[in-house]
Amino acid sequence: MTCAIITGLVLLLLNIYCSKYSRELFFQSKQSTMTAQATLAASELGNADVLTTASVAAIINRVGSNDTDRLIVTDISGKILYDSLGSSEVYALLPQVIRALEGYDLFTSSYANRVIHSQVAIPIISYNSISGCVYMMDADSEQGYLLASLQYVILTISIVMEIFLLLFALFYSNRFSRRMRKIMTSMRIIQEGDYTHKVSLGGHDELSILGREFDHLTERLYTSENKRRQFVSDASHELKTPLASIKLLTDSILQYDMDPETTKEFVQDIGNEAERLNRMTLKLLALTKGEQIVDENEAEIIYMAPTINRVVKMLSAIAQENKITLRLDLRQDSPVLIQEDDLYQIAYNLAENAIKYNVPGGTLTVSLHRQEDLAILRVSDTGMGIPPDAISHVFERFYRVDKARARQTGGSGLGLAIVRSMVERNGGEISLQSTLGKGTTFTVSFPLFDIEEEVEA
Amino acid sequence: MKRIFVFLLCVVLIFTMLGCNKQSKNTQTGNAFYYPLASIPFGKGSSAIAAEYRSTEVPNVWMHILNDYFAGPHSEKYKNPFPAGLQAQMTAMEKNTLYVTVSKELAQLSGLELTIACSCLSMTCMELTGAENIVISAENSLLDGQKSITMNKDTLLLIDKAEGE
Repeated sequence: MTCAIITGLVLLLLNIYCSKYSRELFFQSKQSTMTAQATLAASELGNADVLTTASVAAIINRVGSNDTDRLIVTDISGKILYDSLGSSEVYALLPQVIRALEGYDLFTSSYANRVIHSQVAIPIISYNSISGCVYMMDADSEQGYLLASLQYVILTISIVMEIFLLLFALFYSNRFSRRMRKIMTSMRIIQEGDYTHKVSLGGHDELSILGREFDHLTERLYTSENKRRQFVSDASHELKTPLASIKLLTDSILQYDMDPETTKEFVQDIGNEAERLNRMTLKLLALTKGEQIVDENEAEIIYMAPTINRVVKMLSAIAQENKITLRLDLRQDSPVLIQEDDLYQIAYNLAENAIKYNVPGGTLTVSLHRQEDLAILRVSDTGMGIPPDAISHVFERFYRVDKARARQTGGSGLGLAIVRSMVERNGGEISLQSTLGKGTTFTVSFPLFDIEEEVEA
Repeated sequence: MKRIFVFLLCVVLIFTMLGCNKQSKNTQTGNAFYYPLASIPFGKGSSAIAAEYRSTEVPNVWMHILNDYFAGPHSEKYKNPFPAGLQAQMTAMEKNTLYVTVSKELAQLSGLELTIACSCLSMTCMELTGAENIVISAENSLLDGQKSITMNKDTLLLIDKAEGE
């Protein structure tokens, strides 16, 4: 609207300027023609010895054709000596004549009712003094009509341009508003939490750029939000394990009569778990400060068997409770470069799952093997197995094969996802083989770290 | 903001239109006394001589009115075309002709100045007395070599009426 008003005003001003300028052009043309004629007549009359009605008429006839509407020649007192309209013995006290008799050349022009009225008055100089004046008047309707037509054309063009501009402004503002509304709607949708929503504005204008920038921002927000959620869920899950272990150990101490040696051993385990909990908390704090999740300097060369033993020992009570037989084959132990806490968590999650999803009276087998330059950890159960269509999904976050059972056992669907993440960040690989109704075997492999070779190198 | 802008625009347009159409209303009361305008207009239908309307204090004393007229205009819009000290000496009315004799100071004028002075006096006298012809003479003097100057409405071309044709 404002745009239309401004353009309207600009066009109005342009219109006024064009009209005025074209009028000035016509006036100038008139001035040059009439002034030349009057000057010529005044010059001829100035050469006459005496200005009388007869001498003036003779000179005017000699000068030639006069195409103005009126020609008057006066003497110094303003008395008309010649009038093309025929008047005589008349005093011409016209403003132009008075000024000319005062010694000024004068041209005036005006435009009204499609007629250009022009007057010119030139003094007649004879022997260096004013002896009269020549006055010409012309009412030119032909050029007036031309001027009117020109002004009409300019006005018509202006109106057409204004209408065009108005339509353009309406179209553009409507388009702008529509695109702006789309952005606003997208902002509201994203504000409500749907970070996957995209503005998707076509074109190459500023709004499109804004839309694209907004999409990039949303994408980053989405990634950030995902990381946050993952962090919160992973942190909760990882913290749960040592807490569960501590609870289990304290329950055991309280429930069974133990000799001081065993009690001391259990308390030592509680201390270890508390220590692990402490390390995890420090990691989480580091994470909240935006530091790198895995500090490679924390990886160490360790044999896997002692850590696996600790896990099995920790879960033995639960296994016993669920009537699961534990089998260990850790003879082919090998050194690997790994974070011990990660290895503990990997083994714990796999073994705990093997107990949870086993059948009463079933077996949990944990074994270590060497295969070429790989150290293999295998965790097998004799449980219900995993359906073939679910095998490719079990490492996905929050995926649970049997939801009812998972709820019963307190599964969150994060255990295996965390395991895979930890295996991968320590340079290992994980795979599984499962037969429905017979059981599942998880195989984790890490690059074997040969201490002797390393020392030699 | 938009409303204020549109409102201001309307106000400006209305004032502009009113300004264009504004016409000064003359309260033309009293008698017309003709003088040349101090600033000559050059528009279509403009005249170099115009009337100053004023009420005469002693309407019946004709000579007194003329002397007051010769003293000059009251408004700065007009100029005094008469020489200083000019006095009316005698007036006489015969049929439709008014004979005005003034003091010799009028003879100091010549050419265009004399024509303007006589024109103003003639028009004022025609307006005041209703006379059709005015014969002006100066006491014991010639006016541009003539004993008298005769003027009437037909001998004065104040506006070029051919412009409107």
